[in-house]
Amino acid sequence: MTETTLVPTTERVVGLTRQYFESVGATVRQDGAELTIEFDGVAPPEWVGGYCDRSRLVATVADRAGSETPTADSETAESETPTADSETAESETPTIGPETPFTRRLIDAAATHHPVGTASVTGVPGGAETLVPPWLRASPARVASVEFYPYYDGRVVCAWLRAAVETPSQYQRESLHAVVVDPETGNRIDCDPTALLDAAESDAGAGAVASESDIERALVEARSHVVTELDKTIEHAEDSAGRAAAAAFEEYAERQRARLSERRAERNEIEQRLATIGDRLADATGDDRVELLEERAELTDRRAELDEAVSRIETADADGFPAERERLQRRHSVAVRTRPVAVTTVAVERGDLALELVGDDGRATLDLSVGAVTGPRRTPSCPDCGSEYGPQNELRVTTVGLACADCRDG
Amino acid sequence: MPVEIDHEAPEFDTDADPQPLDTHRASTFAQRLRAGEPDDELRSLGTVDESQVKLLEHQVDAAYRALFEMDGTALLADEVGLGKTIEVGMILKEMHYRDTSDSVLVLTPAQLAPQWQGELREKFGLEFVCNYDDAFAGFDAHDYVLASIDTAKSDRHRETVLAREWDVLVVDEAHYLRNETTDRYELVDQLAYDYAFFLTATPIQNEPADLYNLVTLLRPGLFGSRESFDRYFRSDDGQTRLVDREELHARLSEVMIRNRRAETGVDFTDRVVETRTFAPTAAERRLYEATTDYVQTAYAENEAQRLVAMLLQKEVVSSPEALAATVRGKLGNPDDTDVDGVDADGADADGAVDAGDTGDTWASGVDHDWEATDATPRYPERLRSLLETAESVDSVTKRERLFDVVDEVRERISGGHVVVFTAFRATQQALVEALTGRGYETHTFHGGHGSERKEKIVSAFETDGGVLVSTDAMNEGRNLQFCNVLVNYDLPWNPMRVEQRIGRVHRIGQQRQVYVFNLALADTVEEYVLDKLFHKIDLFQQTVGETSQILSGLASDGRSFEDAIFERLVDADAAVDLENDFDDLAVDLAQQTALSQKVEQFNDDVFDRFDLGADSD
Repeated sequence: MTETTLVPTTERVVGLTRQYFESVGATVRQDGAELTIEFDGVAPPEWVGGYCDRSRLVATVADRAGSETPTADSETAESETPTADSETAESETPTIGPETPFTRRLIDAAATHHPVGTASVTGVPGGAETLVPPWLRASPARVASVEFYPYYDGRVVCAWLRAAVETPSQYQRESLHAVVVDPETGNRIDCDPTALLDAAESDAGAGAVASESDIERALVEARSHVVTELDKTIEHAEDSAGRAAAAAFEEYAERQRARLSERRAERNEIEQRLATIGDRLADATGDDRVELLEERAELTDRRAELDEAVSRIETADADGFPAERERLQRRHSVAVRTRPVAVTTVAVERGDLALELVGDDGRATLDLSVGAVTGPRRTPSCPDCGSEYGPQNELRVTTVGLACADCRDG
Repeated sequence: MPVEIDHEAPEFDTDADPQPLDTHRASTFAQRLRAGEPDDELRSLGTVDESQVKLLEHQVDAAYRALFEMDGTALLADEVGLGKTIEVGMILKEMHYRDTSDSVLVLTPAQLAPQWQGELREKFGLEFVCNYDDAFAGFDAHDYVLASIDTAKSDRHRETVLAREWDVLVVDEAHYLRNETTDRYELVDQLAYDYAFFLTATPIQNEPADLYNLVTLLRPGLFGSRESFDRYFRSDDGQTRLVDREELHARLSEVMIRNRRAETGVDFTDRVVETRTFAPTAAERRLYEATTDYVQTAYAENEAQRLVAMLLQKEVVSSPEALAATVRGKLGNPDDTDVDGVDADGADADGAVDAGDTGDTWASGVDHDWEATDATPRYPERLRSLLETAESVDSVTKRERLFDVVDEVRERISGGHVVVFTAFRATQQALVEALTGRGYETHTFHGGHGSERKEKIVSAFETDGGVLVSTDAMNEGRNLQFCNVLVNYDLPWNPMRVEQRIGRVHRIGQQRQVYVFNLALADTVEEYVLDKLFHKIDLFQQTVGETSQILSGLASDGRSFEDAIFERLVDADAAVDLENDFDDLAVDLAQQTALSQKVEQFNDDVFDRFDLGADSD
């Protein structure tokens, strides 16, 4: 699981029910374990049709015992596996809870309902202090104050991707990843996507609408990042697949060697019979001789077949059964698929980050051009030598202003 | 191991109008919840329409284990009647849901292919192209292919089948692969696939080596050498016994799932079957004899007329109207391929084949072509005479007797629902008119109705009661278990189709005893089929699985059961010949039934006390 994943508890599923149906214009009312969804003036989504009575849907919230503990959820899920008595769309009240058929349909419908969205973030989520770059925090200069002054709007794209890692020995592992990308640069922004969206507001305005090329650029970076995030999962799948393939290969090789023994044994037996026939032919006449000659011909053909079979298996064995090895490698290969499932464009502010810095030798101010979410756009340089500040070239506060460590010490 | 990375296109339209966060949030939240579901669960379970298929615990468990616990290859070997097809349907559904099955190949005996196609479509929403479909364009032209194994291994197709890397391979009646020297075995041995699921209730047919060969296809070397496998068994006085039970069980549990009926609690209510045979009127007898005579002559002269001849022979015992419709069609426009209100390929309004008219011919595994090379009707004068005779029948015996059955049912059996099956729309029309004229609440169901209309018809039948007159377009998925009385007004020659009809009412979930009435005209092919064949093997008390096993055994030479009936009919010179020929066929059928039972018993004995079913770890 990734950080974007949420275990479907009863409470979360009830929350989704509310969110989804309100997003289609229905009103949702809960009274104890009963949830009533009214579609006055709006058409119910098609999938809901069978559950609805006129313009109303009444559902029951499943037992809340599983809402706190994911383990309890999976036990609940087993007992709610659809059986002969479980709900049908036609005749019974649907149940809202983990693993119920209604919930499955709800999740599937909601997931694809509005996959493209916009939002806006005002100010700096987490406060201006979060924008202080690491190289500055690591320097001897102390940040006495920091203020963010927004001047214009920018945007970031949060791409949601579903990733699947599959190999026959463990079937499939799926995960959801959210990656925030600056569409102008195509670079990933190191921030928590879910925290960003939690801080976001709905009213985004035109500035939040990303172009198709923005989205495409964001997806390229997101895909690449997801594959990196999947390293461990892929490694685990490769191990599992490798073990399965190795075990299958050993079984195959053992069987081939057993067949080889069988063929050799049969060939030896035929050799002995041919020798016996040879002896008998010396004295045989008439029909007996004809019969022996026919039998010898048959056995000779069979020996030739066995010779060929033995040779084939011996060669393959000496080469390490390459055809089977290749077949197993192909069969047990690990398939990794990514697919974007949603995209959220977030309008963010850009501006200046004004820092007041204090050092042993005095005070100074530093202005950085930043995005409220993306952080500093560039690393500033020493005014004397022009080299960029960084971990190897720390910023210092001097009596005459700012300088890099080389210039101050040198 | 090789790692293949595939970045797929977005699930959504990238230039769609974006929605504000408060409406968009439900989508991202739903995606997060979806991702939170355990990987090793059957996620598509909740999407299966329970009005079409009732999943049983052992079936869900088998699907789960086959997919998650067996390294992608499994032998599904439940006892007959427990729904192995459902288990595979569930596996394929899950793989489709998760997008892990781009290409699927299902191989079955020829006569079972249409049934598979119907079941996968109706119960699981999975569309397969069958090699008997007109739309079939080769094994490399479609992603989901269902085919007879003999077609797949034919010279025409073999190379294409082998050249393709299949994601999933399913082999039904896999015991036909028991002999490693056959072409079938060789084909499957050489196929390239990621996942494979074999189905058979009887992995052992003749000897334990059958099991070795079958399992070796799935897991080469699981049993080691043949010699080491043979050590699990010992032969005493011609009887083979399992001696190393524990070791065999341990090995088999890695690849085989076998559920037993006794353990699953699958329980069917009783089925009461009554066959009523009636003497036809003189006019009906004349019509029957004239038709049989025509059929024998036309077929003897040109075997390409077989399908039409078979149709006429079936229609004459159904109703004069059905026969007349076909004859009129042949006379009115010899090139007109519409017969009995059905398109030439049997396609109806929503594309499904009205199986009673053409579906039976699929069983023979040949392409059905209504019009043979000769477009001119044979013996037009005789056809005109047939038509006159048909039109002169003013009293239809079966129809009159049907009213008796319906009245009797209403008196003796509570509930008031009766479903009457007929293969022919003209018969259906006539029945509906007659029943309505008599004041019965009547409903009609056939392949010309769209899906929504079909739903409404069944719903009205359930609510209002009365009589539903249906053709064989009522397919596998349709559930009529609120009804417990079924009348076979005419009888398909294919026992599988009979079972499918009965399966509409007699299925898991039916609470009441089921009554099946068969109506037949005396001294006709229908009586022979019923009396000498179906009753002889106790067909009406068998499950679909048992019937398909028997038929698979009979059709080893590629001919269908229907062909076997028809050929006896047309070859008989006299009634006594016909009787003898049917007796011979009955003997074959009985032998096959006995053999099937014996094989089942042997498998039971071998796998007795093996814990390979639901809940086994």
